[in-house]
Amino acid sequence: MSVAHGEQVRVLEEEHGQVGERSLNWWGMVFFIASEALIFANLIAAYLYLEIRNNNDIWQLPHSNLFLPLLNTAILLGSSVSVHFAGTGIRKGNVRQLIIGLSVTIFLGACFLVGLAYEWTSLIADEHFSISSSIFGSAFFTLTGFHGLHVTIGAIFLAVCLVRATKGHFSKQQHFAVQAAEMYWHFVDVVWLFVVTLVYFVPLFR
Amino acid sequence: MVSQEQKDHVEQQVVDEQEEDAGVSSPDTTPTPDSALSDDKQESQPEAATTGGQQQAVRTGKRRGRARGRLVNAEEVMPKPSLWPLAVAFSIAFVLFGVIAGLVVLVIGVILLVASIVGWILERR
Amino acid sequence: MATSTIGERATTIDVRRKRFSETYIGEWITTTDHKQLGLMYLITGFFFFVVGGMEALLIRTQLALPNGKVLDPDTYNQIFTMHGTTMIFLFVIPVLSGFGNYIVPLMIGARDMAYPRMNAFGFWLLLFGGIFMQSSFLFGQAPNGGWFMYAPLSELAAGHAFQATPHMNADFWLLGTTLLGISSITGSLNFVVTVFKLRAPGMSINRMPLFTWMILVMSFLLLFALPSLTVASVLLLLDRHMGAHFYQYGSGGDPLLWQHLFWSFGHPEVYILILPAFGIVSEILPVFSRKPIFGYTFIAWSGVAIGFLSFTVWAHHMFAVGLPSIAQAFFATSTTLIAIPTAVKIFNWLATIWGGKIRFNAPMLFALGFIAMFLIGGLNGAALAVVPFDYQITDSYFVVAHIHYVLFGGTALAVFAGIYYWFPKFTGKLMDDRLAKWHFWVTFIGLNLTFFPMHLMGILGMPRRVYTYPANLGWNDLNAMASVGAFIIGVGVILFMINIIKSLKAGQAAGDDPWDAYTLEWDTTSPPKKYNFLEIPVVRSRRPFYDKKYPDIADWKNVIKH
Repeated sequence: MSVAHGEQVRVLEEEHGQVGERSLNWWGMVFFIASEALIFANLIAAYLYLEIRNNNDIWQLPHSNLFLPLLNTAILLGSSVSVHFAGTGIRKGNVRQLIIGLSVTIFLGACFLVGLAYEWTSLIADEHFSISSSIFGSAFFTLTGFHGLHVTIGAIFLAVCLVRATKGHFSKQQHFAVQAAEMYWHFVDVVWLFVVTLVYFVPLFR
Repeated sequence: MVSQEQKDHVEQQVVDEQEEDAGVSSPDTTPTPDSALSDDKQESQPEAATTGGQQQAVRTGKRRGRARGRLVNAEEVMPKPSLWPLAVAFSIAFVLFGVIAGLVVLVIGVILLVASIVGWILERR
Repeated sequence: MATSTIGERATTIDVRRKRFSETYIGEWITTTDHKQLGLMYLITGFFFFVVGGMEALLIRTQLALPNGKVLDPDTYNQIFTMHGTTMIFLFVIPVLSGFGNYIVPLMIGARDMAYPRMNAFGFWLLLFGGIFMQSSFLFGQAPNGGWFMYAPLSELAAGHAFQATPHMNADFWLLGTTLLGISSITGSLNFVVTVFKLRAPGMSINRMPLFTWMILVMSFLLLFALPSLTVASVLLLLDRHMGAHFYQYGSGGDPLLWQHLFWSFGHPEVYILILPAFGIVSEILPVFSRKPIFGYTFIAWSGVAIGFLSFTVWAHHMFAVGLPSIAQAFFATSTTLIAIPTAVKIFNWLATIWGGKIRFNAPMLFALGFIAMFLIGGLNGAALAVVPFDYQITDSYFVVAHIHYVLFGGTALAVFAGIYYWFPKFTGKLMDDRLAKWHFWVTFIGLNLTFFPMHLMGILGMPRRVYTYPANLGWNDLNAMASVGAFIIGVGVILFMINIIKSLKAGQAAGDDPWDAYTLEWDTTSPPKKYNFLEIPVVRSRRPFYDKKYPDIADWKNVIKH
């Protein structure tokens, strides 16, 4: 199945830059994110299934301090804005805007993770509330942990983009990695809205 | 091998397409299931859809001289061989084996995984 | 050496050392070519088919006589678990992806898949995942909870009162299926984007060959069903190693959660296993009946309908666990509904054959065998959807008979049909048709002898997965028959292997188009060049290659609406 030298094949004319035409990689990313979203849908379904099976009063956190989750939500929504800022930058060919936007986003993502870690440690150390202490503990730490894992992956993805941006890998035409990272980050943010609503706010209305 | 008649046949198609492109902005460029219905209406001009096949051109990223169809060396348009998929797959298996076998294997696996992913990303740049 | 002359340098350039990717082994392990990867998928899948088949023979040997002592009980559990797991995750899915990888880009007139390197990645992940799973035998700790690994059978429950599976058995299964799941996700992403974006000019979505349609639906099912399995596995791993309580009733968890999550993956999964087989048969029947496929639109969209419905039927695996009766009514109805699109396909196939000039070559025989056997499997599946009947025979050998009629009588026969059909394209050589017919009849008799008695065993009350049985329950003759049949199937597989080796060595040259076929994969050399087509073909109807061969009676001239 080897290719002899000099054999020629006919390729058709590219239709680059046509309005509405998405790249192959864009489509791949969309379906990948759809599959990822289904992972969260299943986790949330399991969470709700167990919530319905169990008594309401065990299904809430030992404290009712909403400050940290609200702060984290604000941080994450802000980071969505900044990653969009970065993306618009590179779409206009502005690498400097890209670098600033990515740096801010990674910083905000790190802040979010620090906030999550702080909440976890205070829960485990002060309240003795852990993954094995009760079924709600299992559900809570799994759901937030899974989301935290995705934030970490997204932040690493953005960091790779940042390094490559400083090396000048991206241009107005060639910046798919940035676009993918941006899509992934927005996805992670949207998932957080569901998580925070279910875990922190729904118990308030009971 | 393609016989001369067949080549002529395709050349004929190519000319047709050029004529059509002058007037019609090709309607089938994003073939999703939705476009299945509109395809029926386009029956009189079946050559209008020209989405497939250009990926190689996109990948090479060069402007083409001629309006449609260009002879290039076969090796230029085909994907190049790579060892990194094997490396990444092996590292992932190693990491998961580490989950069973213990922390040392796990750490080695993670190092392998990071190295091979970096290799994959940096390849051909 | 600093004193090399110009002449020497010229020689070194001329006969430079081969790059690694140009050596024989290097070419295979670094390849990103969809055809080579497709063949590797097929070979790997067939290897695991032999492994899983040997496990099946061990099971049947153990059960051949009452009070059998061939295996000890724990080994028996491991063997039947690994038989199911191997056949489903390591034989059927890889073989079908192999066909898809090889055939789909050729069929739609593309030069490769959308993401060649990711394609290779998917294959290697599959191979290492398979080795990972099977290596559990080396530790003496193969998974032993059945191929659906029900909690709490699979629970380790660290720090809790009970330890159902204290060793790593279940971990091998959970991590192994996760690996295979990633592999399938990358594969199906690739298929979806390839089919959507890389079709040849003129090949609109309703001119795609039906095999491509079914691979597309299969890929969507994989993309949207596998997350359930991933989540179920992660939760179980957390239970086992982090002390979580998801599946532990005593601590507020629920073992039924596993069943819900597993089957909301598992039922789409069985359609993942059968839809590409439908596609293969839909390609073979028209070619060997010398007619276009009857009801193209119906076959294609009934596949899509099956895909949608398959997400709404999962709890029919759980009728016996005490679901609310409204849920039972819902799932019984949706399960019966799914018989409608399936029957649409069967009738379309029959209408395709009707009045055709049928050629009984091996691919056609296997395809016809597929229809008959799948019909039996489908009908007793519809019987299982009836809740009171299901109460009686759930978890009995009746269910085993059903799954094997569908997966062996269905998918495996279609896989053989596909191999006989496309082997000339893969290798440029014809397979021995006489030996192939022997293979067909031996397999056909063997499979009916093995699996038909299982219906009766089930109705007589033999539970699935029992280790052994006493002599006075009236199951002796049926079990003996089934065991004999299993070995006859084994003979069939040996015939098949002989045929493959013989045809590879001394098969007749096939030419580019041995079957006078209709689709684009035959419009290139056998085996195809790396770039598939010198020029991307232009498609004007559903049978582009037929149009090209018979320009006077081409489809696009005669047919008003396509």
